[in-house]
Amino acid sequence: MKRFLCLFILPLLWVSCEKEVNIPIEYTDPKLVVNGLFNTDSLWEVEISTSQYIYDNSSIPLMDDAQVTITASTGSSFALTNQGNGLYTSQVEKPQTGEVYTIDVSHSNYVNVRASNELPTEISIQNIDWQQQSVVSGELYRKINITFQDGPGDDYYMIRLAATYWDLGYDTLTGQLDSVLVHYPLYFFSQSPAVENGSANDPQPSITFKDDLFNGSQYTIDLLVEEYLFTEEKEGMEAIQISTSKISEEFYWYETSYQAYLSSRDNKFFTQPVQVYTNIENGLGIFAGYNTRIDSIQIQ
Amino acid sequence: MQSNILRTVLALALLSLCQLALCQKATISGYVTDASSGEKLIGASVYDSKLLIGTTTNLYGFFSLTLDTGEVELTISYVGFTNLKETLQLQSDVFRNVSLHVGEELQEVVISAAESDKIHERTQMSTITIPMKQIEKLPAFMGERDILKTIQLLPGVQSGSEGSSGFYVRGGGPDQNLILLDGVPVYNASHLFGFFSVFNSSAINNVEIIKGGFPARFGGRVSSVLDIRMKEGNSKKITGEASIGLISSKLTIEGPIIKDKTSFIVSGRRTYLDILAQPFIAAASKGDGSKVRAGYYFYDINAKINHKFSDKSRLYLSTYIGKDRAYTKIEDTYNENNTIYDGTLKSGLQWGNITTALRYNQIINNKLFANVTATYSRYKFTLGSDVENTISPPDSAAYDERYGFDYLSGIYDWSGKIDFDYMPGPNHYVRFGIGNTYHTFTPGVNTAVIEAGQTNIDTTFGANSIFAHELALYIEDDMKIGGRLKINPGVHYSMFLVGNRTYNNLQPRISINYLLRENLSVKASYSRMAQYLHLLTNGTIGLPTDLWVPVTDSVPPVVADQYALGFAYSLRDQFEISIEGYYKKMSNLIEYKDGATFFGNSENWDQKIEVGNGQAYGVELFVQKKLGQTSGWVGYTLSWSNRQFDNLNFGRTFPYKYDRRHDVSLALVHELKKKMGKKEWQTDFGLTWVFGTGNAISLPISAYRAYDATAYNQQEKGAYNVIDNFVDRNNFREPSYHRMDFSTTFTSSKGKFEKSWNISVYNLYNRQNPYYLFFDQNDNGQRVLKQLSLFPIIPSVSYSFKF
Repeated sequence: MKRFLCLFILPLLWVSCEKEVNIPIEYTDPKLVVNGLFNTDSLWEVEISTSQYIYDNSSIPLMDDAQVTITASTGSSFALTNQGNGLYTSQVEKPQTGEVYTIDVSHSNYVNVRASNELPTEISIQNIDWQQQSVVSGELYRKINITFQDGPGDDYYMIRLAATYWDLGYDTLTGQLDSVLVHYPLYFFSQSPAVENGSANDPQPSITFKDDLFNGSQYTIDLLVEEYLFTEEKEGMEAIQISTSKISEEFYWYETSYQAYLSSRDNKFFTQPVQVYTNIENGLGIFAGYNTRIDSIQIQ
Repeated sequence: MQSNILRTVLALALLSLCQLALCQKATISGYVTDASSGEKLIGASVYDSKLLIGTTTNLYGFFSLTLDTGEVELTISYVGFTNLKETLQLQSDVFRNVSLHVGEELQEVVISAAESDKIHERTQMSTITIPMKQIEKLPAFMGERDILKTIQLLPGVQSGSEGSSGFYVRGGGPDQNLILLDGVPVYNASHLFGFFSVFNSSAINNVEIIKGGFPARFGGRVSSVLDIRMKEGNSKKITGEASIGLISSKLTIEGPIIKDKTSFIVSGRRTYLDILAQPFIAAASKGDGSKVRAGYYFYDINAKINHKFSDKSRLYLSTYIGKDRAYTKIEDTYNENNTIYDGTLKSGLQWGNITTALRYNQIINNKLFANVTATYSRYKFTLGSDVENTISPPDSAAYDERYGFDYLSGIYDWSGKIDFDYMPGPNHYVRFGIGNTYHTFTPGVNTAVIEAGQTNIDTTFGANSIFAHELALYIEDDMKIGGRLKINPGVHYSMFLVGNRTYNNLQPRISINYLLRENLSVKASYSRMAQYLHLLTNGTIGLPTDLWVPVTDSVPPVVADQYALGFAYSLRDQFEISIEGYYKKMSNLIEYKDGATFFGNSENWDQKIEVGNGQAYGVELFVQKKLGQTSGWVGYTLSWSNRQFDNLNFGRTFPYKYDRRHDVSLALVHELKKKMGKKEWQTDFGLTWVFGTGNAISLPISAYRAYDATAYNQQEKGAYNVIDNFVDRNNFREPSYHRMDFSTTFTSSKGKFEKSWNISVYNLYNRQNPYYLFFDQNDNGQRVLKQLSLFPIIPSVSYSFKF
């Protein structure tokens, strides 16, 4: 409908004129930007860059000469090594479930920044059922029901779906041309009341939700995917991969605000701009933990 | 001690009885009308110029004035009409209809407002009435005079986006204005995405806006009441008016069916850009073999009929029907692999209001007036497309296919109410009444039809209709205490029943006017208002998809408390000057969640919004001159309007988008008249100028790299996004808005005929006002902020004649 309406609004804008305007935006010193999401499966990996004045046209600088240290709540501490392009990684250390980690980043030209976050426990999935069909707004969907046990306290979740195919590509480990598993994100939505983002008219590649409605109890969440994926498109598909993550509260706020930001950026004319959440003291970005479980639906 | 009290009470009672015996009272009641047309005059002043005791006519032109018996010097006056003075010996109750004649320019003194109608005498504050004659002489946009755009020129009333008919009163939203046409709510008051209002000025008799100190008889919205009354129709003779403009033409005919008993008025207008554009569209599609029709138009019709059964009873039936329609029709025939496809694609969207009011007036006795009203209001938006194909394969019989889709949303109201005006004496004017509205909300129904081969689907889906009752009761008394004090206390009670929920609100109201000097008064008011409907809108422009929805469990009614204090001063019977300060506190306002949008899809709408609070305060200065060769007004508003939502802007208070620190408006009309024998010439000049602080806007101060948490691999993570860092909502200001419009109208009349040419220039000095701001790159590849402006200087011309 939006497109249809735009057809009638656009002619108005066509007769309009545009010009540069000078609204003074006060220059603020750049801040260090930390982007690091950590989970149990991988080594530590954090990107360090800086923010940039809004009228600055150069590319955003990546920082390769910062000091990056991770400290666990147990007191152990280690430095991350720069790999170029602003990327810092650990040698052997991996995040541990339930542990709280603090990142400290310092650089001689910028104010030091710090953030702390916990790596949540793994989600306890009890059943995945994908045999049901459902008609929504006249369209046929496949309904994937995931039943899981929520723990005590506040918990936050994110679910993604992807169709996986074997395709010719470069192996990320060996760098060789090989048959690699390629993920194509699937757009879906949920009718479960706990989920606020996405709808039949606005499917998303991921959903995020919190446990306000089912705290401490068993809950079944539904995911609706267009049925043709299971019939017409299944040729060559390896599986449908379900990534179910328990995420930290900070990750939740970052992800929901970031998705809203992307949505508003595409609808600038109709929405208010979105402020993206950050948990970096004196800086910007996100430092947050998540714990992912991957299940596959073999539909061949 | 007890016996002393008893003695005093008895003495007072005796004194009262003596007074009653000595001072017999009698009531003069009747209607005040325009002598030339029989049109009822609303708000005309009727008073005893000796005792300076008076009243004003109600919405139906009725008055009732109870005075001591004896000689009465009755004066009846109405702005723009010659005063009528009459001395009569009042012995018993009198019913008298009075006709006033339009005042001549030379009689300026006698056509000024009467004492009781002057601004410093009225109890009501924060209320402005604009004479229709002034509206008609102000500059027109593309030849169309617009009541709502004139309203936007008043202090405390702000326009939204450039060209839009939406208005914002004292920090409230556009959905918080109760727009009444003959007492019936109009839910979408705009044509063409808000660039024109639905009100055809030719059919309108009276326009009044109330911004605060709401009398108890009004309810249902929290920020303003715009009360528009249609003409009743000339009861003396058939008259007409026609005009031809750049984009539309209109025709109005009114007259008696039975002289002085039954009269009617019909007024219609239609745009014709679609008709003019057809040959060009047809020519453009000629080359490719298809036949294309496309266009956009709007029309509206106002009609009213009224019948006088007797001097004491009258029936009115009025209706408004308006529609906007955009359409395309493509007929195409082509051959593919020897199969002939013959198809028609029809698509369109249309929206419009229908309002109807059936009213019956009865003067029950000379002090009690009753009005019974039944109304219907409908706003409907539909969007649809239909594809029909006839497919003729080379080796088999031809067959048909059809694919259709329709979307419908809207609101339907049936309402009934009874209102009483009770005037027991000159010191009391009591109004009370009861009404109920039955709302039906259709927030989005889809219909799909597929007829292709063996497939035959005809399905309806979408949000279910919601039904609600809105009940209202009120009582108010406009009373005078002594010679200086007037108070209008009242209470409005409303109840809203939706689903299994019932909401109640008791809304106290009070307005006070204290006369400090002969022509200066201090006024104060408090009012509580409640609103049970929310408008889902995208805010930037008024789209036809904007949808009214009722309150829910998670979104309670909006409640606003408003306090106002001001001074009113009448200067030399010519100028009305008022200065008012106000403070308004609003709770349960809605705003979209970050990133959420709405396009006619009401599904789970209450999950897309945040509920919060707002406050607005400011000072308004208004100087108005209604009469004379030069008339008009100057308004200035200094105001603040803020919002606070727990989940927006990290809970911090932020300025409302239409928070406008300074708002200045000027509207001037100047008349020049010349007479030669039977022929008269008149030249009117109209000029308006507006200035407003730029709208609040959110701008980023920096940018930084995002982290895509949904990326599946390193390559995807490498393709980073940039996040613009917005530190605060609405933290910057757009460039200020200012514009001057000018018009001149040349009118010549001879006998019954009058013709006029109007030349208007919108945006006289071609100011590029901001409509929308966005970041872009300039020719040097630099990131810059750009502004989109809509309307440059737009001249227009229209021709009209009256007979």
